Amino acid sequence: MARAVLLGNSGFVGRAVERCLLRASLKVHGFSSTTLDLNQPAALHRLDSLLDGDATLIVLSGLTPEKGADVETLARHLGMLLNLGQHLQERTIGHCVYVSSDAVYPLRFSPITEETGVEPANLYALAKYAGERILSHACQVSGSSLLVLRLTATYGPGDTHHSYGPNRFMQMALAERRIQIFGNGEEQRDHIYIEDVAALILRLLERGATGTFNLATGASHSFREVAELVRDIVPDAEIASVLRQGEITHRHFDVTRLFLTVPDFIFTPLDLGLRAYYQACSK
Amino acid sequence: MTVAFVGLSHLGIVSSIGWASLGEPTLALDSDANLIEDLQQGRLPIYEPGLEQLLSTSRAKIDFSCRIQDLATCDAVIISRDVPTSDANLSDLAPIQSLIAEVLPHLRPQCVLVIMSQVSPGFCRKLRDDLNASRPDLQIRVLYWVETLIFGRAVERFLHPERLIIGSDEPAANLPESLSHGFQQLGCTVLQMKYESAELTKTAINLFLAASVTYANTLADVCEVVGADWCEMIPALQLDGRIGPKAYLQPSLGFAGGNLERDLVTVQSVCRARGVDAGLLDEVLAFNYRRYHWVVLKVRQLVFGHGKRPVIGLWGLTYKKDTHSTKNSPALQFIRDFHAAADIRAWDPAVTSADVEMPITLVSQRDDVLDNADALVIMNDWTNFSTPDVPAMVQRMRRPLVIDCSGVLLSRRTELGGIEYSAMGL
Repeated sequence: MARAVLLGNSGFVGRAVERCLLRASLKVHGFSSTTLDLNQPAALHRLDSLLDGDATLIVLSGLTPEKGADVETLARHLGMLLNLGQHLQERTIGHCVYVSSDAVYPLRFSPITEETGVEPANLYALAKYAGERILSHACQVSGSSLLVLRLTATYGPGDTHHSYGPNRFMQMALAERRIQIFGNGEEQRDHIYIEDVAALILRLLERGATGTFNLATGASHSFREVAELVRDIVPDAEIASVLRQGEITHRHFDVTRLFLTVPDFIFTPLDLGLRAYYQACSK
Repeated sequence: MTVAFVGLSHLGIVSSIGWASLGEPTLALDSDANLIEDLQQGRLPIYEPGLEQLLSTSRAKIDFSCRIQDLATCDAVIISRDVPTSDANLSDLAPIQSLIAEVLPHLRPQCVLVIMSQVSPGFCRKLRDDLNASRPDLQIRVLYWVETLIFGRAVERFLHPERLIIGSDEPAANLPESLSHGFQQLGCTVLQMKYESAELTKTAINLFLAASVTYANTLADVCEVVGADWCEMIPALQLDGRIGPKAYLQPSLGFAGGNLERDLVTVQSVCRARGVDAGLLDEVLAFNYRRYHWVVLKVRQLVFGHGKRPVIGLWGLTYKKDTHSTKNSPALQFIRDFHAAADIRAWDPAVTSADVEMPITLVSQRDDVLDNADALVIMNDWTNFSTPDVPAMVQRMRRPLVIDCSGVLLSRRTELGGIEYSAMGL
């Protein structure tokens, strides 16, 4: 990998990935929506000199749900991916990495593997899956390698999404000393520490991995367990239960494919990840 | 009356020798001259318990030949070649059809043509119709004989069948004398039915068994997460009259060897072509494919993640005991997946380095895989594995951890003092 080109380097995952690649002494060119607007096709020509057979393109750009969950947001999201796909199908690059989401999977299957059928349940998930198909087509046309990473719930310092789980629990605990869970927090979810996400992306690139991988730890925890861990870390934090809105669902991952590709990778245990999260926020 | 078995694959070899052992004059025919030479000299290309002895005692009754003209003296000709399958377990019936086309010109009029190969529903009726149209002069009667061979128990299964299942176009008619005498000696019920019923019965049996395997594996996994013990539960299930003492309830890494997979894929194709819901088949096959993940994730949980390159000892390379076959063997998949990340040493009583190319060390003594190992993974159920040298395990292994994929040590787990033992359903 002579150079890495990051699209979406200002986001939660993008910043972590950029740091990781720089620590590995790789040449990194990062772009955010303010420096390269993917909704403007002409803007993509700024990448022409960077995208060749020695380049790895990492696509982290996207419009996460808190930026809108409506049709207009979907249209903008798709517009970005279509422009990128159009651009990529005209040039062969060394490796393309698309960071997608486990939102493409339905909640009714367990455990999830890469062979589990996708069933995007909302417009964000639809946009993510569409991105997979668009870039898959583009890479097929241009002869570029593609790695699709379906990311499970990611937590850690720098999160901007405040999604229900470790991120919201930690942020609420720090701000209000109060952790709110729905019902008894029975739902099981797989949470991956942000630094592990970045490290895994680097490891998979080093292995020349292609195809689709679920980026998950393989170990799910209930929201109550997570809340209790946060409570035990943040002084004076308490757990409050509020009425559950929807039915209880669970998500477990069978990470055989990931493990067999990087068998010596050690995930940060949830308690240690939360502790590091707290320490980073306390500085 | 002479019966010929044409196509000496595993099925043909066992069946022809078994038929001869009944005292019936038998011709065993194959176009492979080297194979015929070996068989004539008593050298068997396959391993089945008791087969060598059976051949020895039946030698006077069986002629091995590659002269297709010899079929002219036979009263019944049995096509006994196993149907070859692809890596995706898709049946290729072309070799069977070619074989039938080759033998036809040499059949005597009113000969009985028996299909023993694992064909799909509709094959025999079409064959009969084609024969009636192309060679009405021969008046060939076509039958389908459902084979129920089990690798490692083939001789026992042939000589002591639970029943014989024969498909024909006239299920009410008497069976031809060329076959009925031998069938009588097998001393079991003979069930005659339509071609399609017989062709589908074989698949139905295998689907039931495959579903049982899936059931056992699913429940064993549930046991592991709720703290139940599947071994305690099995007797309770077997004593239920609706389940029965012979129900297949032992958890494992799934079915392999190619036969069950072949039949499930065949009926899956029929379902898809005819608009029948294949959901059960889809899930049984998919579940079986994923079943291998049990050992991967167990190794991940218990062996990796300690910073050192692990040393793993492997017992068992064949897909099950009492066979040389490694077709679809999880052990070979394990080696392919882990040989780069771990040092693997393996032993199997039926496999040598000459049999399979592997990027690992095959040891000559069973317990040599234990030296400095971080784990012993038992991949199949050879009887030899049920009598481990526990003190040797404790002394020779760096970490006396046993991951038992076949349950061969389950009944003795209380005797494994000093061993960290992990098995399905616990």
